[in-house]
Amino acid sequence: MARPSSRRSRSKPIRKPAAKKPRSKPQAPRKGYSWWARLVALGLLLLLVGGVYMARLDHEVRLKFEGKRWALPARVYARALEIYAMAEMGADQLEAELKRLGYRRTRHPDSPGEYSGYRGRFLVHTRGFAFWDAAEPARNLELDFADGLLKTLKDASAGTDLPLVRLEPPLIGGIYPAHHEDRILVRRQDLPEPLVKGLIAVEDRGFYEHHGVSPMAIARAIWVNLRSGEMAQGGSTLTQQLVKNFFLTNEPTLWRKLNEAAMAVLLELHYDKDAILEAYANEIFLGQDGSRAIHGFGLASQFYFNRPLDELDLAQQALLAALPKGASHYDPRRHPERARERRDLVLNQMLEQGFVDADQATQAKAEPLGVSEVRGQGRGRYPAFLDLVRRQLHRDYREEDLTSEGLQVFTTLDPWLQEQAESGVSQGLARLEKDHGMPAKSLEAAMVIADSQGGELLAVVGGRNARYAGFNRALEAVRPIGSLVKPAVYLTALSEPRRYSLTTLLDDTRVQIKGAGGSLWTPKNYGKREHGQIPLHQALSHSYNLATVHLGMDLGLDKVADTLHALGVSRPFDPYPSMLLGAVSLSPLEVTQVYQTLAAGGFRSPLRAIREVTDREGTALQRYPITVKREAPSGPVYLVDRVLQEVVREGTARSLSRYLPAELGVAGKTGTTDDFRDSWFAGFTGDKVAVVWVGRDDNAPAGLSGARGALPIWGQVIRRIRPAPVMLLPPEEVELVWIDPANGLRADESCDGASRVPFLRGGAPTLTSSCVDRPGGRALGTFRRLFE
Amino acid sequence: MSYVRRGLVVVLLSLALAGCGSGPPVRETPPPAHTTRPPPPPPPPKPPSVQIQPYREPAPAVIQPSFGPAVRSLLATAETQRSAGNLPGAGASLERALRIEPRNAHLWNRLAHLRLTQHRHGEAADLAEKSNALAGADRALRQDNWELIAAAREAVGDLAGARAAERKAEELR
Repeated sequence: MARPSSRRSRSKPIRKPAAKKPRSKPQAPRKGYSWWARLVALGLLLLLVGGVYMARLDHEVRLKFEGKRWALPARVYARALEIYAMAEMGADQLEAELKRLGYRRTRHPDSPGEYSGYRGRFLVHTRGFAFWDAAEPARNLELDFADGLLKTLKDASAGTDLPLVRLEPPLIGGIYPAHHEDRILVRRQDLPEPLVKGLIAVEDRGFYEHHGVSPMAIARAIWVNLRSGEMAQGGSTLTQQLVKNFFLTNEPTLWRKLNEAAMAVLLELHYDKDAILEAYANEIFLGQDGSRAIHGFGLASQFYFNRPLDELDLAQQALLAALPKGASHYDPRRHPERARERRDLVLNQMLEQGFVDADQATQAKAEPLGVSEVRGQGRGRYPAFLDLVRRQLHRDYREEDLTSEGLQVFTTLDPWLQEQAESGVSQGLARLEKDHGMPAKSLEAAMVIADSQGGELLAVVGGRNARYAGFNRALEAVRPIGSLVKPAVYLTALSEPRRYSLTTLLDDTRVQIKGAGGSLWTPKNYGKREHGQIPLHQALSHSYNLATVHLGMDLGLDKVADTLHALGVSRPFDPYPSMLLGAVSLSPLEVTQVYQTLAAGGFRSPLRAIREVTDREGTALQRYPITVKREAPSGPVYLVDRVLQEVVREGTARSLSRYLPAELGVAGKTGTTDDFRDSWFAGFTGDKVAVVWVGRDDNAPAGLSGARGALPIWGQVIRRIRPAPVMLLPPEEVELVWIDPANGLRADESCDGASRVPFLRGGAPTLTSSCVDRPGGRALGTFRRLFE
Repeated sequence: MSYVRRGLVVVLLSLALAGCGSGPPVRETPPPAHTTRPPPPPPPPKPPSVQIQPYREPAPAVIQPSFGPAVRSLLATAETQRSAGNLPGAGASLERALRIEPRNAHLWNRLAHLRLTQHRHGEAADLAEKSNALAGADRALRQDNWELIAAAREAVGDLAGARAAERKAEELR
């Protein structure tokens, strides 16, 4: 209420001076003095404002320069290859690893990052690596390969045998925000001198003399450019370029230019040339890789040459020095001609200023650009695996820590195995489409390979185009698992040795089950046949649906569900009867966990993609050690594993013998879902567990059973990766008992057709077959072979 | 406490034993012929031959730990790290050894002892159980594993479980 009046009263004093103006006219003689004073005052004011502004600018420059912490994305490494005598490893495998690490093949490897190889004999000069647990020194190695083995490993300098060497872990990618800068930080002393000289020669030849700005340089730049007719030199000093990149936006206004100059001078006041050069070498933009911006010479060296900075030759360093001028204009991959011209210009300038001699310059100019095919390691060659790593990291780290703290992530990926799996999947799918007359590229697949005893994930293939970072089927294709669920049903049964053994007869006969809504479920066997009474092991090895449903209903669905959870299924599912035939939906990764537990004799090791995370200096922050947990009893698991071997030997997966020798004793299980929508194969060798899924992204019927779709791919990949034989150790509680196949009673070796069958203690039949008293008894069946 | 000490003695003993075997390593898996071809047929895991009496319990296979030079050097490294108090480093070295010989029950046992020293009792007992599963007929190793399990159970207050494990160890003595 009071406001209007008070506002009025306040406005009065403002009006008053205006009213007084006419009255000041008589004081005209003091006008000249007033102008002078005003000018001085204005000058002082400007000086004051300018001073304050400069002080603020100075503060800003120092604050930013000293506090400048580049956001460093986490770097992700594959496993370091362990090299030791008698390792199962071919020369091809070593050479692939060396190429992956950017080693150069030369006649005489005499500096780190070089190797030579001839007929299985290799000389390798390693770089060494500071692992968090122990530093691996750079070494001169001599390696001899024969018969798929590394026969000897020697220190070539000392001539002595070496027990074990770790190569550097290959960098496989980083963890980035959507659009981002990426860099590998380098220190001033790590910048090779020719690169620095080249940079100074072509960008700022007065760098060591000027104080941030160089009027001479501007004049000279104009002169040089006029004379040569091209933009050989810019007028900005390196300091100005740094300021521009560091603090300012890119708009070309006069105000910005002035600011830039002022800040450059201030920067030079506070910091020496080396500090400025180091900041420049890390800040400067040098290329673009999709949404990833390549900054600094450290990363540019990896991005263009797939090698560290200190291994570049003169020509390569000159090429890097050529790029600050315009990284996209002179992009050596897109515009090799321009890049080459600019590189040669750098070399000429270096020659002109006496940094190199004529021979060196000529030699360097004769060299090709030397740009590597491998485009650094951005989002990575293994997007499906990186996706998994990212997910596992997010459990323990915040996004901003992952994208800015320069963490180093050491993973379990085996790139060699991964590449075998990738090519196996894409070739396998192409062959399936051809053989079954399907349209090309209609099928999709996923594959996971893990180490069976420790649970380390060795390879993850998310689709037929493994380079494409899209739908990661290994993790995201959650599909019904079909008969892959059956081992859980039989494991549940065999855990009750008083009721069930491998020879217990099951009913493989028609069954109808009333669902919750009153609807009837009528499962069928593959091929719609009934088999009557069949022994339990055979019901599993031939994947009979009806026998499995009878068995599962007798056991109770909750018990089967409990077994599945114990084996490693963490996803909740409804224990409906259809679960017994694989209505449970899981991803290939989850299936791998289930079969890992089976492969490790009931010891579950949570599947891991990461071994450890260190900070940027290499100090371990977190370890993900091997853990094991007994989740299923060893005796019943042993029996199930024996039947899974039978599946491959003479059950639904016997076509695996086309790919793998029977002596390996591979264990596995096929899976097929309704209308052939999903084709699965899960299995294990002596040291690895692997799962393949084949199907279509639109979930339409693919028309392939597990044995026809997933199995051939599984077999093709496994045969390439040096499979180890399965050696199942019978646990204490297992005994082998002679059984007469005719009646399932106890027998002895004198009974014809009798075979030794593993039983849990107390589970073997107590009655003895009449054949024991009748030498040369019945000559029945193929039963003997089953368990020998 | 006595279990820990006994465990350490076993660790040192087995390390000494490991150092003795200087002959060519016994390989668990035969060398494959070529990268792209499947390896030559390895000996199948046969149950004991037909001569064995029908109802007698078959002798469990003795898995020869291979202890190749690489694994021996890692064990030595692990021991140096352990005695220098670098337990995480020792763990990492043992894991490296396990990646080379994943079915070597002694390595699992060694890792179990390390976890016990680190007071990670649950992990220690699990690893010892894993070692047992691969130990086959190696009674001394199984006995040590049971003693370790007893110590781990006792440390977390599972006295009944510890007694049961001790009895298992006694049976193997």
